[in-house]
Parts: sequence; structure tokens; C-alpha cells
Amino acid sequence: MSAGSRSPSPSHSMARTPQAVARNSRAVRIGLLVAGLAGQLAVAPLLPFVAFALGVSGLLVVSVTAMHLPIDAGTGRGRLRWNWQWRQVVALVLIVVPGILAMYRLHPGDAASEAQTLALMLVFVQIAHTLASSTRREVGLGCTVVVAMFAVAVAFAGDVIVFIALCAGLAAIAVTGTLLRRAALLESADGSALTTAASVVRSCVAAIAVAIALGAVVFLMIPNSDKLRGRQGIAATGAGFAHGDERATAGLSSSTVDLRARGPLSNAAVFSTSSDAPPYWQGAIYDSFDGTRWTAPGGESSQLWQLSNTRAGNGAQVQLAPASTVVGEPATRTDDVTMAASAELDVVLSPGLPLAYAGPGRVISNDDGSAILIPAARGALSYQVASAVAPASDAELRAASGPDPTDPRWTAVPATIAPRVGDLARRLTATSGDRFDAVNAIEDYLRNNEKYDLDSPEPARGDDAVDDFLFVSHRGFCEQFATAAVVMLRSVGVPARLVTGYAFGETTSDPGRRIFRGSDAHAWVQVYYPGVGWVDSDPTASQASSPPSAARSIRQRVTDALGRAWHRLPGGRGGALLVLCLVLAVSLSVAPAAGRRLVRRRRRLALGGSADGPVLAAYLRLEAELVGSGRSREPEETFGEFARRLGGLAATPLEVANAMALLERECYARESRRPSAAESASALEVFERLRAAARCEPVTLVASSAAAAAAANRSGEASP
Amino acid sequence: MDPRLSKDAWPNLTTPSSRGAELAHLAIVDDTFDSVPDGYATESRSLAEDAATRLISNVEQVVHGRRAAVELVVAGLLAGGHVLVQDVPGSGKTTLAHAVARSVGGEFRRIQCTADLLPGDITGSAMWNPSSQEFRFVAGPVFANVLLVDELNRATPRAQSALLEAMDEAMVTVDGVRHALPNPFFVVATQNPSDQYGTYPLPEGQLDRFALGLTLGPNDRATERKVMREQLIRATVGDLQPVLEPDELRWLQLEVRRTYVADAVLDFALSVVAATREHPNVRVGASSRAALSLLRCAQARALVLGRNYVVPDDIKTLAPTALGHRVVLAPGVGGPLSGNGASSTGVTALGVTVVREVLASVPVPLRA
Repeated sequence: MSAGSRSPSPSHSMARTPQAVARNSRAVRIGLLVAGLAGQLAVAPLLPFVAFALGVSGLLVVSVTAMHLPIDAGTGRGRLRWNWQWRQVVALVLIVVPGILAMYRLHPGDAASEAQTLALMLVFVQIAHTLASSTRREVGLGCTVVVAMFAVAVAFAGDVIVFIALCAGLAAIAVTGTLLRRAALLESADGSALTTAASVVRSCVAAIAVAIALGAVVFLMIPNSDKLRGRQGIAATGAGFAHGDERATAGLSSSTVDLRARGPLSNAAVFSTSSDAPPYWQGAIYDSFDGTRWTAPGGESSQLWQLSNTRAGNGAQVQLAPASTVVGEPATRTDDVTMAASAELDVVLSPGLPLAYAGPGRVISNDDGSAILIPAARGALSYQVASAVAPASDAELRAASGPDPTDPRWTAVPATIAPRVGDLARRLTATSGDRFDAVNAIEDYLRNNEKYDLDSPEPARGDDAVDDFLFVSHRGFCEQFATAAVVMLRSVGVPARLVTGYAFGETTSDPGRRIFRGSDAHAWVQVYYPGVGWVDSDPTASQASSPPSAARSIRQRVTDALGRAWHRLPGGRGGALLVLCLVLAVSLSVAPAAGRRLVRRRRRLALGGSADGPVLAAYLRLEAELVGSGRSREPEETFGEFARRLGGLAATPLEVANAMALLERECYARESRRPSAAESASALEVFERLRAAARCEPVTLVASSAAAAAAANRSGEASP
Repeated sequence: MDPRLSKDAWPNLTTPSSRGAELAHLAIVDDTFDSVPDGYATESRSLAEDAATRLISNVEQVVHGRRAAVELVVAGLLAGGHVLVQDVPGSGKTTLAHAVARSVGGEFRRIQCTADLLPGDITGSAMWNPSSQEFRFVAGPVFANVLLVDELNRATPRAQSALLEAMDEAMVTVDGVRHALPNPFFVVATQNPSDQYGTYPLPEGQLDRFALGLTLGPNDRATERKVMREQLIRATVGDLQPVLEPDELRWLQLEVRRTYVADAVLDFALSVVAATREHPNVRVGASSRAALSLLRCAQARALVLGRNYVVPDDIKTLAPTALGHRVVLAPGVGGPLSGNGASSTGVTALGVTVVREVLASVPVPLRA
């Protein structure tokens, strides 16, 4: 027997390419460093504390991951000795959950505190993450957090410098991602690991281009980019958000209506009237507006209220409207109102200026005509209300003349309202002959240019709600429409006020009744016409949504909940953007890995095996190439025998034997002893070469294969 | 296969890293075959490879052109099994056995079997000592580290069976007293083709005790010429120096046991063994002991080649030698006697053919 019968070389001669590994990890480290620096550049325009916190976290991720990377590359299996995965999960849960709780519990609505808590949380997350990150994938997640930092920066600072930082940072992240991906490829030693430097440069350039394009898009998406929303924005809105928890309950006499918050609209019935009653039932009246909130007259100046000491009940009628509020000699009508069993009412709802009330409870009437019930009426009660019905005909309104009320609050416009609102109003009403035309011009403008949307975005902090509605979001619901109309009317000197109540309702199976539900709550405008009085005017009228059905109410409930969660996010739109970026980044970083895993799993299932290593995968590709040519491995042939058959063709016998030995090691050695990526590289290369040769010159391979096979089958045996 | 080694408790092994201990601890839970500590550091593995290579090259100094056979015998030695070499007289089997035996240090004995060999001649017996007025046990040749049993099939079945206990349990019982044999204990036996005059075919149980049964086959002309030239100058076997101490051999045998056998390889071995039982020409296929022996020898071969894991190649290379002498052929296949030792080439050769056929039909698993 010849010495050739000895099986192909011992497996110690695994090929290592330490240079490649080192080069690789160095590139990744540099990429991370650039990303971290760019991240700090991006957060620089923020508050000092936020900048400091984010900077520290960025530095942490860069330094610690850079510290880890060489170890990663060296071990080849991409894992440090300590396996901290479960600790990582625990740490994240322990840090993130209290962080979120703290954010919502300790500083509700305080923008600056929210930002600080957020930044602190990011720091903690970073610490936990970097403590635990031990693989390239985790380093990739660190990059995701850097992306989140950019999002924070974008959310709080709207500046050209952010655009530059954004582009630089995104580019750096993209390059890092590409390098990481390449490293992962080299590690998993996929077929495409054999990419050339040129292809890497190409993909880097592509990544940078995409990043810059993305940065531009994000920059353009940032609202109000023309004004700096950095420092002063955060500082200014602190006060505004102090009341962020309050919920406007339209139609009920809450002392304020906050345009930033919208209460849930229940589908439950509130009250019913006869079906011939007017559609608008007013409840509370608001006079003063501060840019985001309406305040009822009694809210802050109770001396305006006149208490009616008469105890109502037993059919006794209470005169409500003070003489000063009744203008001229209006037509009156009397309505019977039946409250639903579950309803609670603290204002007297009336289809016009309430004049007299007969029903349960005590009534306080205001000088503007609204009436409050004390205590609030609960349960299935009914009352009678007499009200003055303003004339509806256009001619009467056009003909209206006389003095306006002297009270300046009906024409007061808050100083914080952007001047362009007034400009718009003046432009719209410039051609209007009379008050009626002016009102119609403004309302038509609103109907035609703004979109009615129950889930409209909440105005960002620091903005006045009217400006935001008219010029930025162009979306709003009745409160925004009515508020905008009132502000615009007032800014051209027309006395106007906001009214909340119920509108339209629906006729029911119960004939002759009109039922009003929680979802019918509405806000509209009352305009003063001299000699006529306050006249209802609804800029939302033609845009109100269709009456809700039961199915819609579930959907509405869900969207309400989502909307509330959305509105609770820190930083308003910026917070939304942050979450969006986070989700995007996480999915982007997870998707390729998940996809790869899926593909690998499918391939594995197709082959019926349990786990394919990279060398085996490469070998199987080679085998697939050989299938059909009669040169593929017989199922009964071992790798060693096959190697002897293939040897000396496209690769030297030693190369083939070494590659096969690696393959054997991957297949049959203990898991901890399987070849590393660096070791596998040579085998992959040989298999690829053989595959290429098999594809190009099938004849070369065929020639000696039969003889070699016969020889191989004989060798390695001791006899005969 | 050989219970002697199991006396060496695993905890005594030093593990090179705490991670190895960790792994071993984890492995015990799910895979008993993995419970052997992952202790084979690369250094110890290459030391083992060095020792094995040293042994092989030492034997090859006197046995030419039989590299594969030498490797097999060494594999059997390291596996802790016993080896049966069979061929026509004068083919060099005694030289091979002798060379291996001499290369391993320690006590070396030789038994030349004849028809009148008694069990006591092998095991030793109690002798009357007139001076001390008592029977004293005088150890026979079996008390050795390496025992060369020449022409085993010339001994009577009674004498052969005396070897049985020794090979199986590393103990001999004489006059009701059990005596432990030295460790390591390695039997290399030779056998003439059994149709020659005056031989007793080995019982199947006895054959099963041999881990490997190999046939040497004729040398080619060039090798034979070389052998002649050397032999004309001097008889070289006697000049061989031992290259392994018994301690070293024990350690090597431990290293063999620590060689990793992946599930796929284990299944492959079991498939091969199972297939021998289903072969049409086979009456009784290879036993479970045969499978274990095959795997152990495969471990040893892996070590000889410097690997710390067994590959299907090991199984495939060793299967004819490890299983060929154990399969019992169906009546009429190997001639009238149909035992293992019927024709001039030996029914063992037929067994080897059967195993080769089997190997050509069992697919090699690709994955762990």
C-alpha cells in the first residue's frame, strides 16, 4: 500500500487571514468613531444637559464597542467569553420601564423635564447596552441608538446645521452599517463574502447617497423649519403644557377648552328633544383665548356671574338671561329636553340664548347668556327651556346695524397669535361689503382650505394653535375651525366667541324625537350682529362627519386611544418623529438578519438538515453545480474520497484536501471546535474556485474523475 | 469495549480551561456521549499525534509497505482493543505484531500456540514451593503489557478460551483466585488460514473479542525486494527500541476516548453495522460490541491523524477490518464449513467483502 492511503492532512493547517480580520475591525471602529462624533455634532444645538447626556452616551457606545470589536474579530465566532444576553434583557427592562414611568409620572407635560428624562433614559440604555454588547449585531443596535439620537436632535432643533449634521451622521451610520454587514458576511462566510474592495466602495457610496437623500427628506419634513425651534421652543412651552392633562369636554361647562387635547367622544345618548328643534344646542360660551386655550368668563373672573337664588323645580320657571344680553325683541321658543339616564349635565342646553328654565337643580346665569346648573343634573330628568331664536335669514343679518357691544373681550386677540393670521383675515375680508360677507368669506376659506380630521395632529409646543392649524397642519376638528374663525373675525374687529354644545343629533326610531349623543358634541362660532344679537355660525358645518354607527364607535375608540397615546408622546410631533425613526431603525437593523435567517432556514429545510455552516453551504453550492455532470459526490462517498477525486483539477490536491478537512471539521467536530470565519475563508475560496471551474470547463473535471474515483475507492484500505 | 479504562475516573482529568469544564457540565445534561470533558487542548492533541506517529514510524522501520496495516494495528492498540492478523505463513504478520509489541515499552511476552498448549501455560498456575511448603502462583505469559499470540488457531479451543477472560476482562482466574493483568494489556494474535492442517477454527465469541481482524495481503515486488535486502543483512525486529512507555500508552488510550463523535458519525456507524445484519449473505451480522469497537477504533484513527473528532472516513476505513471478522456468513456462502475460517483465503476475506458491499450502500451523512 502506498503512503497516499493516508487520509488528507490533519486539520491543524487551517488558513487564517489575520490581516483581513484586523483590517475589517479597524474599518468598523473608524466608522463607529465617525458616527459617534457626528452624533455629538448633531446634538450640540440642544440644551446643554441634553447635549451632555447624549454626548456621553454616544461616546460610551463608540468607545466600548471599539473596545469589543477586536475581540469579536479575533474569536471569529463574534462572541465574547461572557454571555450576557439575559442580563442585557434584565438591565434593559429594569432601566427602560422605570424610565418610561418616570417620564410620564414625574413630569407630566413638562417638556424640558421630558427631554431630560428621555436623555437620561438614553444614557442608561446606552450603558446597559454597551455593557452587554458582545456581538456585531449588538454593535449594530448601538448604531440604532445613535440614529435615535439624531431623531431627538431633529425633534428639538430645527436648523440648517442640523441638516448638515444629519447628513453627516446618517452617512457615517450607513457606512458603518455597510462595514458591519460586510464583516458579518465575512464572518458568516456567505458566498458573497468574496466581494472585492471595489464592490464595498460602491455599496458605501450608494449608502452615503441614500443617507443624504434621506436626510434631505427628513429635513424637509420637519415643520416650521424656517424658525428656530430649539432653545426658546422648549423653554416657552413649559407653561403651556402645565395644563396638558386637562381634557376639554365639549358641550359641558369645563372652564377651559384646550386645543391641544381632545376628549373621548362617547356614543352614549346625552339628551333628546322634539324632532323639530333647531340643530344647534349651545351650552358653554368662551370669551378669552390665549393662543392654545379658551377660558369661560367665570373661569377666572367670577364676579361676572349672577347667581339666581331661585330654587328651580316643581315647574317653577327661572328667568335666566339678564336684560343686557337680550338684543332687540327676538322670537322665543320653548323646548322640552329629556336627559338620558347615564348623562350628566352641568349647563343648561338651549337652542339659542336661554331665557327661562324650568327643571331640577339650581341655575347660575352669566351675563353672556350661558347658564350653569348647580349641582349638575344627573340621570333621566327633563327640563323646559325657553330660548331666544336668532333670525336665520341672510337679509335680516345683512340689514343688521347698530352699535357693537362695548366689552373689549369679544374682540380681543391674544398677542401670541402670529401676525400672518390677522393678515390672512384682512386679506379675506378686504372685499367684503358687510359683516355677513366677512363671516362667510372667512368660513368659506376655512372650509375650502382646511381638512376636517378628528385625529388631526396636536399643535407642537411653542406654536400657537391657530397658526399651526392655518399654515402648517391644515387639519383640525371643530374646535380648531371655530377657534380660527373667531380669531380671524376678531382680528378684523368683528365680535365673535366660541360656543360649545351639541349639534345635529339624529332622529331615532322613537318618532318625533331627536337624540343627541356624546359624539355630537360640537364647537362653533357666534358672531354678534348689531340689533340682532349673537348668531350661530359654523365653519365646520358642511364638513362634519357622518353620524357615527356602532361599528365606527369601536374604531373610533381605538383611534382615540391611539391618538391619546400619540398626543402623550414627548415633544409632540418631534416625539412622533423620534418613535418613527426608532421603529424604522430597529426594523432596518433587524430585517436583514431576519431575512437571512429565514432564507437559511428555508434552505436548511429544503435539504432536510439541521444546521448548515458556511463551509457546508459553499460545498453544497459546489455539489449543486456538479449535479448532473456525473461528477458529484455519491451519497456513499465520504468527503475524503471525494477530495481525492477532485484533487489536482481546479485546485491542488492539498488545497482540496484541506478544504474538505475543514468541511469535515465543520460537520463533525464538536461545536466549539468548528472552524472560525478566518479559517473557513480558504475553504470557501477553494470551493468557489472549483465551482467556477466546473461551470466553465466541465471537460477538465470529467477527464480524470472516473479513474480517480476508482483509485479513491481502493485507497485507504489495508487489503487485499 | 475494554473495561479497564473505565476504572480511570473522569474527574481526575485536568481540564485546560474553565470553559471546558463549563461545557462539560452543560453537556452532561443533554448528551451523555458529550459528557467527556472537552479537555483536548491542541497541545495535548498534537502530543498524542506525535506519539502515535512515533509508534508508526518505529514499526515501519522493519515492516515495509504496510503503512495502512500498521496504522490499523496502532489504532487498535490505542483503542484499547486487541488485534488479530491473519494471512498465509511467511507474509510478515509475526514481524508486524512483534514490531508493534517491541515498540511499546513495558512487559512483552509471546505465546506460540500448539495443539497441546494448556490453559495453564497461558495464564500461569500454582506451583508447589518446597521451601516455603505452600502453593505459589507463578504468572504465565499472559501477565504482560503486550502479548503476542502466534498462530492462535493452532491452539485447542480449551486453550483459546483461556485467553477469552484475559482479553475481555483483563483478569485471569487461576484456582479460583482472580489476578489482574497489567494495564495496558494488548493482545496481538496471528492466525493461519484455517484450511491448513492441524488448526482449530476460532469460535465466534473469541473472534468478537478482537477489535480488528486484518489481512496483510502480498507485498509488491519492490517492497519485497527491500525486505529481502534488509533481512539478508540482519534480523531487524529485535533491534527495535520501545518508543512508548506504558504510562504514555495509557494516556493515549484516554485521549482516544475523548475524541468527539458527532451524532451524524455515530449514526453512520450504526447504519453500517445495521446494514451488515441485513446483508443477504450474512447469517449473523455485527454485534453492538462490534459497533462500539468500530467507533473506538475510529476515535483512535482520528487521533493518529491529529484530529479531535471522528469523520465518516474513519468509520469507512475501519469498518472492513473492524467488522469483517465478526460477521457470520450464511450457509453455503463461504464453503462447507461456513465458519470464519473456511477457505484458503479465509472466510474473513469474504466477511470483508460483505462489509465493503455494505459500505457502498450506506449514505454518508453530511451534517452534525
